[in-house]
Amino acid sequence: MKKKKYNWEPYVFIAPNFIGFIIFIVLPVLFSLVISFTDFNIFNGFKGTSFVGLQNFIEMLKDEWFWAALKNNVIYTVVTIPVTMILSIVVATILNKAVYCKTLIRVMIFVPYIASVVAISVVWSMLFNPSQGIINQILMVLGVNNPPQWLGSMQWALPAIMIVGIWMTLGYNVIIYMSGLQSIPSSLYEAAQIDGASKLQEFRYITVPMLRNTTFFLLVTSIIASFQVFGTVNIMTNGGPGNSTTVLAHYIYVAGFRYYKMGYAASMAWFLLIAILIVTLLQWKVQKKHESNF
Amino acid sequence: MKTKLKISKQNVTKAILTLIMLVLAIIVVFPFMWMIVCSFKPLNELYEFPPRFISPNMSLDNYKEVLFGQNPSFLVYFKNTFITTIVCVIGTVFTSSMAGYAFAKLQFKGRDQLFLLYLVTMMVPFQVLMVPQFIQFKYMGIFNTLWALILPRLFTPLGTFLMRQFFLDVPTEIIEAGRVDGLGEFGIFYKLILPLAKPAVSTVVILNFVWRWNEYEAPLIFLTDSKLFTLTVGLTNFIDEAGFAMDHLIMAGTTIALIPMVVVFILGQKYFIEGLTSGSVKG
Amino acid sequence: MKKMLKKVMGLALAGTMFILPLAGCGGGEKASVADTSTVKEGAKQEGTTPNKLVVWGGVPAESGPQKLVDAWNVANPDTPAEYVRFVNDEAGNTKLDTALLSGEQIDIFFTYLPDILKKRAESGMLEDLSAYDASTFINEEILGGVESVPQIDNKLYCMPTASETIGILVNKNMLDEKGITIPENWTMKEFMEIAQKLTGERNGKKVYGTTIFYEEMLLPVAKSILGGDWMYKSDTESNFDHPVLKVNDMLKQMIDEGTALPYEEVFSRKLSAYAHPAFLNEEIAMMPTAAWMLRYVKDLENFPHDFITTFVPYPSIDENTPNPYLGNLNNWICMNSKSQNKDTAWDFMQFWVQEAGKYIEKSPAWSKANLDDVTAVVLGENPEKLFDVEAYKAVMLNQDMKYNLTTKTVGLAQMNQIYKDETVKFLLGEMDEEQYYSTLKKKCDDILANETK
Repeated sequence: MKKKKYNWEPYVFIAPNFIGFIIFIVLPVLFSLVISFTDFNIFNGFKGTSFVGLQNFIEMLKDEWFWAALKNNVIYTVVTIPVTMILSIVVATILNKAVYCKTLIRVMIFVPYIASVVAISVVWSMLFNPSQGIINQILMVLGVNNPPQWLGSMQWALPAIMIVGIWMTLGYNVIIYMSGLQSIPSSLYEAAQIDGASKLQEFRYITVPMLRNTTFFLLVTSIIASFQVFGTVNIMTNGGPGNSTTVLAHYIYVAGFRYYKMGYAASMAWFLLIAILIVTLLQWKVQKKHESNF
Repeated sequence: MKTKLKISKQNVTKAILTLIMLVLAIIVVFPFMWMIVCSFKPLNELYEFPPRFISPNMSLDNYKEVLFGQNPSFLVYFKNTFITTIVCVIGTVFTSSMAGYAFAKLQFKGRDQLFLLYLVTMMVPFQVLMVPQFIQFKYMGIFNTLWALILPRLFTPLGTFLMRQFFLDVPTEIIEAGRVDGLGEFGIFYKLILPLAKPAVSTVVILNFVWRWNEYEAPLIFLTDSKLFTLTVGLTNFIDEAGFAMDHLIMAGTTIALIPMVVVFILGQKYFIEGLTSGSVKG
Repeated sequence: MKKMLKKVMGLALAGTMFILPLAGCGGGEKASVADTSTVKEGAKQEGTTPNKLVVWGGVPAESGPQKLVDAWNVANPDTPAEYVRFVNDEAGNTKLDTALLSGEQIDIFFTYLPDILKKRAESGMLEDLSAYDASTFINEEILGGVESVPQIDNKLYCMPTASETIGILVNKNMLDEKGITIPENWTMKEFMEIAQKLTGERNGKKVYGTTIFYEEMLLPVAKSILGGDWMYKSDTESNFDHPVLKVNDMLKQMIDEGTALPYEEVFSRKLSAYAHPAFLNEEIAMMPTAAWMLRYVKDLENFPHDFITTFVPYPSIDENTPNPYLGNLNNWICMNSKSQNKDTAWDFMQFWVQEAGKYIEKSPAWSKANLDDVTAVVLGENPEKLFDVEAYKAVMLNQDMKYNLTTKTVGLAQMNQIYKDETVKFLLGEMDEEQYYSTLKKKCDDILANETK
C-alpha cells in the first residue's frame, strides 16, 4: 500500500497546540534570554532598559547569596535523591513480593504526592515547631534532651526541608520502581533460586541491575525537580534563617519580584536551565555508555 | 509436615515485613492524620502534651470559620481553583490528543525536529518563564486574571508527549481501514482513534487535574487580587494574615483544600498509577 | 471529508463555548467576579466607575480603614474609593509591588519601612508630591511638618499618617505575682534582671521574660538612643563600632541565658515581626509594641486572655544615656505615579491624614487630632478591663519623646539586609561578638564606599 501523502491536515492537528506552545513557551524562553543581558525593570518599561552585556552573570559570580543558594541546592540534591531512591527501591521490592495488603500500603505511601506543597509545608511547620511540635515531643520522650530546633536553626533547617522533600517524593519513586519490577522476568529469580541464591543476593544481582533504566529515569526527573524546589522553602523558611535554606528557585523569585532585578533574575534562571540541560545530557551519555557495555 | 512448616515460616516473614511496611506507611500518612485531628480542635489544644487524638472539645467550628467567616471565603478559592483546573484539563486533552496523534501517525515536514523541541522544553524550569510571562501577561492584559493561569496551561508539552506515546502503539491498520471506509483524517481521529485512547486520555486528565489543582508558583506570581486566588495561594494568604497564630483554622483550611484531591485519587487510582508509570515526568 | 471537518469544528466550537462563559467569571472584567463573591464592601456600585480610587493598605479593613473609606464614599459619591488590604510583611509587600509593576489600578498605597520607600521611589513607583504643594499641607497639618517626612533626593514622595510610639507591653498579672515594679527610666541591666525574674514555670507552662524581636529585627534600643540614622556615622561611614551598639550583646545574652524567647522558636513560629500570639498566650511576659498592635489585645475571640496589659518605655543602655527616639511618624501614604486619578487621589490622601484618627486604631500624624478621642479609639470600650490606662497615657502618649527620622538612605536597603543577616548569624552563635561588629562595619562601609563613588 502506498504511503498516504498529507497536505495540510497534520498542520491543523498540530496548530492549536503549536500556537500555544510558541506563544507561551518558546517566545518567553527566548525573551528571557534577551532580558538576562539587560537591567530590565518592568516599572521603567523598555525605554528605561539598557543592555549591560555580561554584567548580570558577573554579578552572579560575586553574589554570596547566589553561591549559598547553589550550595544548598547541591546539598539538597545530593542527599535527597540517593536517600529517596535507595529507600524506595527497597520498599518497592518488599511491597512487590512479600507483603499482605499491598495496595493499601502503596496508596498510603503515595498520598503526599497528591497534596499541594502549601498543605505539606503548613502541616510540617506545625510538626517541626521546636518547643511544642509533636516531633520534638516524641524525641524528648525517647530521651533526646536537646532535640534539633529544626526550621529555626542554621544547621537543621535545610535537613528539615530535605526530610519533607524525601517524604514527598517517596511514594512516586516507589510506584515507578514497582512497575519496573513487574517487567523483570520471573524466570531470572527462579534460576537464582535453583542456584541457591539468598534473597539479598537476588536483590543485589538481579533486581538492582534490572532496574537500571527505571533508576536512570528517576534520577533524571528527580534532579530536574530538585533544582526547582521552591514551595517548601518559600513557605516554611523563606530561605532563612540567614541564608541557610535559600535555594536557586527561591532566590530567583526573590531577586525578580522582591528586589525587582528582573534582568538579574532572568540570568540566574538561565544558569539554572543550562545546569539542568548539562546534567541531563551527562546522565544520558553515561547511560548510553553503560548500555553499550552489555 | 516439613513443607507445612516452611510455609508458615514464610508467612511469618511476610507478616513481619507487612508490619514494617505498615508502620512506614503510617509514618508517611501521619502528618495528614494529625492535620485532620488538629482541624477539629480548638487552638489551645493543638500543642498540648501528651498529644491527644480525640478530645471532647472537638467541633466543626474551625470549618465554619474558614468557610464562612473569611473574606474572601474559601468557597471563592474553591471556585477559582475548580474553574482553572477544569478548563486547563479540557484544553490540554483537546490540544495534546490532536498534536500527539499528528506526531505519532501523520507524516509531515519537520515532524521529528519539532517533537525534539517539545521534548527539550519539558526541561525548562518555571523560573525561566516567570519573568517573561509576567511581562507578556501584562501586555496581553491578562495579568491578575485566571486567564494567566489557564492559557499557558492549555498546551502542555508533557500531555502531547503522553498522547504520542500512546498513539504510537495504535496499529496503523485501523487508520487505513478508516480510509477505505471513506473517512477523512479528522473522521478517523474522532471516530476511530479517540475512542481507543480512553486510557491515555484518562491519564492526561488525572495527572493534569492534580498538577493544576496544586499549582503554587504561577498563581503566586500572576494573581494579586485575593478574590481570584486559588486554594494554594488563598491558603498562604490566609496564613500570612493570621500570622501563624491560627494553626487550628489553617489546618481546617488545608484539610478542605486536600479533600477533592483525595477523592479524585481514590476514584482514579488505576489511571493515576498507569499515567505515572507510562514514562511521565512531573510537569 | 467536509462533513468530518464540520464535526471537528463543532467540537472545537463546543470547547470554546465551554471556556468562554467561564471566562466571564474567571477573569477579564474583575467587576463580575466581585459581585459573585461575598464582598460586602461599600463600593457596591461595582460597574467600572472611571473615577474610582483603589487604595492598598496594610491595616485590616475592619480595623478602621473600611469605615474611613465609607466616610469618604458618602462625601464623594462620584469618586468612590475601594480599600484593599495587603499583609505588611515581605511577602505582602512583594505582592503589592507585583501589582504595581503589572500596571494594575492602584492609586494610593501605604509604605511602612524607609528602605522599601526608597526602593519604590527609585523604581519610579511614587508620585512626587511637590506638584500638589504638599509641603504647605504637611507644615500646616502634620506633626513636625516637612522636617518629619523622609525625603528621597530632596523630593517628597509620601505623607505620614500615623504617629507611633514604641514601647513594651507587660503582663501586669505576672509582675504583680512576683511583686516586681519596673523603675522609671530603666536600664538594660534592669531589663535583663526583670526578664530573669519573670522567666520560669507558671501553671505548668514555660514562661520567658520577654522577646527581643520587633519588626523582624533585634529590639531597636540602639536606634532609640541614636535616632533614625543610627546606622550611619557619616555619609561614607557606618556606625557599627559605636559603643551603644554593644546593647546587642546584652540582648543576645538574654537569649543565651534563656530569659528571652530563643531565636529558633521566634523564627519557626514566625514571631520575629510581632510576638503577640506568644504574649497573649502567656508564653512571654514582655513584648515590644506599637499602639496599633493593641487591636490583638482587644481581640478576645482569637486571643482569649484574662490579664491586664501594662506599658513601659524602652530601657536605655545606662542611667546617663537618654533614649528619646521612641516615636515614628510613618504609615506613609503614597500616590502611584501611574495613577489616572491623581487629583482625586491627592484629595483622598489629605482626607486620610485628617480623618484617620477617628476610625483607625492608631495615633494619627495629624497635628490637630484630639488625644482623648484618639485614646478612646485605640483602647476601645471598657479599656480598664484589659489595659493599665494610666500607664498607656504615660508611656504611649509621652510628650517628651522624639521622632525617629531616617534622613540618610544611601545603601539603606543593603545595610538593613546585612544587619539582619549578620545579626541572625550572631544570635545563632555562628560568629562571636568581635566578628559580628567588625563584619557589620566592614560590609556596610563597603556598601557606602560603593554607593558614594
